[in-house]
Amino acid sequence: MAFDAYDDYEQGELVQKWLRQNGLSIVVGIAIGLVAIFGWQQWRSHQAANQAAAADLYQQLQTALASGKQTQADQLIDQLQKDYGKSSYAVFAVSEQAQRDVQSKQLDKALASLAWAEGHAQNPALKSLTQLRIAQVQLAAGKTNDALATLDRMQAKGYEALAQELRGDALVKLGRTDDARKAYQAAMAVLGDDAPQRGALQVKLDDLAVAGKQGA
Amino acid sequence: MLQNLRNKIHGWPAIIVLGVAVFAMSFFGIEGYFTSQTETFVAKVGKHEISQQQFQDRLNQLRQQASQQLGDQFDASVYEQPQMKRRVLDAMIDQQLLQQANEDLGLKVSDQAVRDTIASIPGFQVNGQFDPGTYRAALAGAGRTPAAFENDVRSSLSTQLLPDAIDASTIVTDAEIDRFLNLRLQRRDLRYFTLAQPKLTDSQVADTEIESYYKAHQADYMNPEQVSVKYLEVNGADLKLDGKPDEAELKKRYEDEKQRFVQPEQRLVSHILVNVPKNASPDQQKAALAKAEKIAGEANPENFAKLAQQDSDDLGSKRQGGDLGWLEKGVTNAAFDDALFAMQKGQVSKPVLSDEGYHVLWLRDVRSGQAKPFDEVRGQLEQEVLASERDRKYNEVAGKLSDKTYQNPASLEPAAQELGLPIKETGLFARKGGSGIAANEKLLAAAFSDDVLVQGNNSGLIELGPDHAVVIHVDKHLPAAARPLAEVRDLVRQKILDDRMAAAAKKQADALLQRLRKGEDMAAVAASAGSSVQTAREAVRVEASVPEQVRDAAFLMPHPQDGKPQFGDVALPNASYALLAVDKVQDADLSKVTPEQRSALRQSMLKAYGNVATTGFIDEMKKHVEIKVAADRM
Repeated sequence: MAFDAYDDYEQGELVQKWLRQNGLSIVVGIAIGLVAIFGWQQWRSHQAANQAAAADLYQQLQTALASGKQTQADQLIDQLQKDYGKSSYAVFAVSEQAQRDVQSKQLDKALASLAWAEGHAQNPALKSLTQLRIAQVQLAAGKTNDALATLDRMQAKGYEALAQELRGDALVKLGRTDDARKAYQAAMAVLGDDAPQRGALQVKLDDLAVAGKQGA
Repeated sequence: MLQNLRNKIHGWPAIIVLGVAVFAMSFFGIEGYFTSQTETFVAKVGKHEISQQQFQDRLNQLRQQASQQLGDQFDASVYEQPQMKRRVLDAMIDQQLLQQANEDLGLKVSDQAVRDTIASIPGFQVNGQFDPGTYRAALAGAGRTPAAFENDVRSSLSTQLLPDAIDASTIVTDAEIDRFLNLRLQRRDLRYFTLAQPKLTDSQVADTEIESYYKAHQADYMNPEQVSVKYLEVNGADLKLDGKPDEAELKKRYEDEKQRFVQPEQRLVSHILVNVPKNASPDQQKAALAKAEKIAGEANPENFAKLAQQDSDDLGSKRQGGDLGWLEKGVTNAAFDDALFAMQKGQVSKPVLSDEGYHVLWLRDVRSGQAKPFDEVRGQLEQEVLASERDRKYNEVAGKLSDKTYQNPASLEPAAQELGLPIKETGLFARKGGSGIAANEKLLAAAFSDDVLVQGNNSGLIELGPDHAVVIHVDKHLPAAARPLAEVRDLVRQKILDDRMAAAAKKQADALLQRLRKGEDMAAVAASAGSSVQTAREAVRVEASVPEQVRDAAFLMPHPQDGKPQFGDVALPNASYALLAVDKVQDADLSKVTPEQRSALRQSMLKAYGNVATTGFIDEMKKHVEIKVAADRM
């Protein structure tokens, strides 16, 4: 410790000198720290308020839809898209709009809505779910290859049961029976034992039977 | 080295450095000495722990629900099984994941949803409308505050947020519905004929054949492992008690527990409420008090009901002239209670302040607490004394039985002598149970356990029911053994004949199938086998006119290719066969599906797809959230 070589006065001088050189940085550092803490809290409460507002709009949307007020529902969806575009609620609301478009046979409109939802879904699991839905509508619209490409885009493997079944449907349409069978078998392997669609899936698989291999 | 250190540690910088070190060491990590490090969670989802207490509460809750639903058929032991516990825990983990998903996705229960849910609970409604008074009263009755209750509602709603949002946005396309219907209602044109059971040319079975079959299929001709047990039984109902309780004892018990036989004092009261809003200004409060005082001044027993109808802010009681009925102490809030139980019969009170506002009370009648006389409850007391005496005695004998049989694990004799209990015996029974006490699951488990069966020890105390237990000791043990050939000779013989018959039938069917596949006419082939062809056009999967096995086989066969039918054969019961041809496969006739059927199908598909998607979301989360399960603490 070379510091010992100095006497008390010199040591004091050294410390003062050091403080003069670095004092500003220390003060600025503390100030930045305080601002960061305060800002973080502000941001959190802003975030919470934002979530609550989006939740409220979504709830209003559900009420409006339940009572068949389409115009009001459209306005609420617009507002969610515009003001709360990053909220998952906007993604859900727009996907719900797509569902209604599908029911009224406007598949292109539904695809446009779902594309918006895919682009705005922040959560990877939600994004993959949206992609699954896009593939469903693409297949229904006859865009079989697009549907397969969309399924390939899906990152999350949690939806394997639905994704593989859909892939199988697409492959059947393309006449690729062997690949379709593999996809259905993969779906069957991951689908829960008590899932109600097991029966339907088995029927799809059985329908691909080939000679000498009854029931695949 | 220490000397070096000592030489260098002086001067105030060194003291500062030391100080910092001492400070850090004394305050950081010190909590490690105070908090125990034992982990007590049953499961840990990310950072959230599911405690044993929470898990037990949920188990108890489910057990209660099941017991209410099933009544007598309820089997409490189901909830002790590890698989069941695991299923309950998994559901709790999923719920926790759903809560975390809410955070990830920024999903919140809106205040509106909480309000709507509370308003829709029938218990808080008057004439089908939500009533704030009833709500508060019901909560007060259950000893809960609105804030806590709303919190509960919020958290129970929160686990539904994501599933609901996924359900609401699930897509089922018309193409998918069509595809489902086209397969489900697919139509196939069939021809088939059934073969008669073949006649066996050779019904002779040689003894050597029987013997070799018996040896080859030993496992089919076995007697199961069996045991018989000796046992000592304690049954509360059979225990002799030391006489009836005497009068003095009953009297003493009556005196000791007098308050059980006393009805609490009740007071019949009416009130007029002057509402004071929660965040009222001082002026508002003063105005309310003035109004209440004016009412109190005017009110007397004659005009009270009328005044209540005019002026009371309590919507619940207003129409009944402010009548609140008979109240016991502690039902209403403290201030109201104190005032009410300090009043004289017929009196009208000064304004009393509660959290709802000012009340003016009229005490109409008092029913003082009454004790039932000794004679009236003597019978009940006697029963109770006997029952608790029986319990005590049972516990004493059962305890001794347990001790003695444990001390002498090799035999029941010492315990039998000591306690004066007879040693009883069961007949032989197998693992799947016998008659009498041998039908009891717990007893079976004990009888075939390693400790009892293999080691030959006494069992522990086996509770067969309330106040009924046994300790068993294995008496005879017959290992699983082959049944002697003499006993099963006829069975074996019949089996061999059946096998021959099945083989002959198969051979015949296969030969016919080859002829069909080579292109021979089906009618001719059928005729040659003494049968005739049936046809079913546009048969569906549930076609009633076609035998079940033929129908099922037809729908598992490949589609006809290039206009050529597909042929197959299928075994029918009783060793006969059917041969069938699938001539044509068509999609469903969708024009026959009504819009209602379609929409019902859409709904059920939405539900099924939504469920799988939610499960998928949770599965996806499980890959990113660490989940620990402590099975040993379950």
